[in-house]
Amino acid sequence: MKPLKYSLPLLLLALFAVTVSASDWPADDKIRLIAINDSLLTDTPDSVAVEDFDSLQNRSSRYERIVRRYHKFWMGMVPSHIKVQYAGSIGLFSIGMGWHYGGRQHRKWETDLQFGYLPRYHRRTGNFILTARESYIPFRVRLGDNLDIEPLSCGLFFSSIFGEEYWREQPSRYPRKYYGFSTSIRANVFIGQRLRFGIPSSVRKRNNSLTAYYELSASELDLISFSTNRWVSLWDILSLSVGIKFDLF
Amino acid sequence: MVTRAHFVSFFPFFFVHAPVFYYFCTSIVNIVHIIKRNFITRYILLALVLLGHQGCDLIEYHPYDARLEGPLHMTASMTARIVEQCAGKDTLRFAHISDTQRWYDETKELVRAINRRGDIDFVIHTGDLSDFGLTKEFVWQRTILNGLDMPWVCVIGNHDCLATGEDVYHTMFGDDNFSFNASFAHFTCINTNAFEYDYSASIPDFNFIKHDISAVPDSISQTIVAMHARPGSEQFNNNVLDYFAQMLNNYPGLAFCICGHDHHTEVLHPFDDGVPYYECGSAKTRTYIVYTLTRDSFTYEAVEI
Repeated sequence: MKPLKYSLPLLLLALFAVTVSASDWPADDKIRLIAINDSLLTDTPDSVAVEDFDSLQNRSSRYERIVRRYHKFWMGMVPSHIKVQYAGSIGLFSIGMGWHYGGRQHRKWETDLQFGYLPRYHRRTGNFILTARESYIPFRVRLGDNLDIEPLSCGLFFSSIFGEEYWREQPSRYPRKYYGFSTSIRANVFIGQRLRFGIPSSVRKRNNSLTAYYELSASELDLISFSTNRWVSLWDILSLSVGIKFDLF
Repeated sequence: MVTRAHFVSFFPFFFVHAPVFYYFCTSIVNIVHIIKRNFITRYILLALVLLGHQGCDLIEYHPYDARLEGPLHMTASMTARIVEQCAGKDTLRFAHISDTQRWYDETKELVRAINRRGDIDFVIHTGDLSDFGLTKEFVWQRTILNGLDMPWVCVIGNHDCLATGEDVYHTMFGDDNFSFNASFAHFTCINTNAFEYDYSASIPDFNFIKHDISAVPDSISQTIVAMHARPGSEQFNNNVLDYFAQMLNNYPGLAFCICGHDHHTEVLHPFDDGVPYYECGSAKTRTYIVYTLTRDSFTYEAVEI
């Protein structure tokens, strides 16, 4: 009976070993929370071995400083707002993300990357348009607890339309300077105004404020036509856009 | 099954990109949610789309959007008017202008000068309405040239082929090769900008010319051919020069050809077959040429305003 006496504990031990080895620990649906100094991560980077945790607690560790700087850099790249825009020479509708920075409130300058779609109309195909925009908002006036007006926003944007019929530089078959301009890339200047609605923290869900804006822009080719002809009026070359900006922070 | 662990191991920077991706996704969801739930937002969007389609000049989706309103396919209606107005006439008088690109003030003056004369039956524009191929430029030129009291037709120029300019031309005017009969004269307008197509399209279109010659009625005693780039210019397919000359000479009573492109007024004889090519200067030179045709002869006069 001696083997039988030990067989049951052995069997249980074997079962446990098989279960543990077969299970993927930690289970996939569990999230490990790891605090590295001030930042809270949901998972360890692959490069961080578990035995490194002791050294992570050491604040002066070079590795830890590098990781912290790396995180800080990439966290600074998180877009601070999203824009949805109608018209404005960059597509029927365009959506983009952007960053605001500079000034005391970090809202004096804005850089945006917008992606627009232009339906077919009388062309052969519809096209996508990529736009890089830089805006300057010199000052804002506080109208109420949650309402600001930005009487002036100005700047420039470059748009690039994708499609085989547009070229960045004239094709090589042409003599030099035959067409001295690009059909795909347009440089535009704009001027506009904005109204910013702050969302009270009690009802805030994703955005801390919404900004409604309009802009009047003109492209460099239209400015050439305007400056050399009295027949072309300023209203002929201006292009209106309206949009909403969703601010996360 | 692809697990989270797989994803993390395949994409080591996932935890860095995740907040960006998450924010982007949630914001789009947020926007879609707002549009779906909020009637006011929906009506504002609808109003904006309607504003754009009502032809408000301030709304432009792109300089090359080819979004056109107003009179379209004008070649057909204009040639019909010319045919109707010139029927049975023994003397025809038409004006020739060219290269009005980006010279709106000068084009306006030309239109005024031609209207003031009062003896012109119709006007032929030998190409280059636009300078950059922008949709807006075509619309502006159409507005100015529609100020002419008489019908006008336009040949396609090399600048009109840029980007979506060709699509705009086809929509606004029609085919780039067309012909019409005004009383005793046959007018053929052809696209000669082979260089714009890298010589890969049949330009000049000899098939069109062949069929056009066979369709000329017996009552025709003179033929005038209008083109933008003359034979020998860098835009022309100079590999087919002789064949082009032979083909044109098959037209009954080929009187002369008119062209533009070089921005100066000149009489040229590119072939030694006795057919002159009259080139009209750009609108900047403020020149138009008036041709007076009778059944068996013609005279021309270049007018500088």
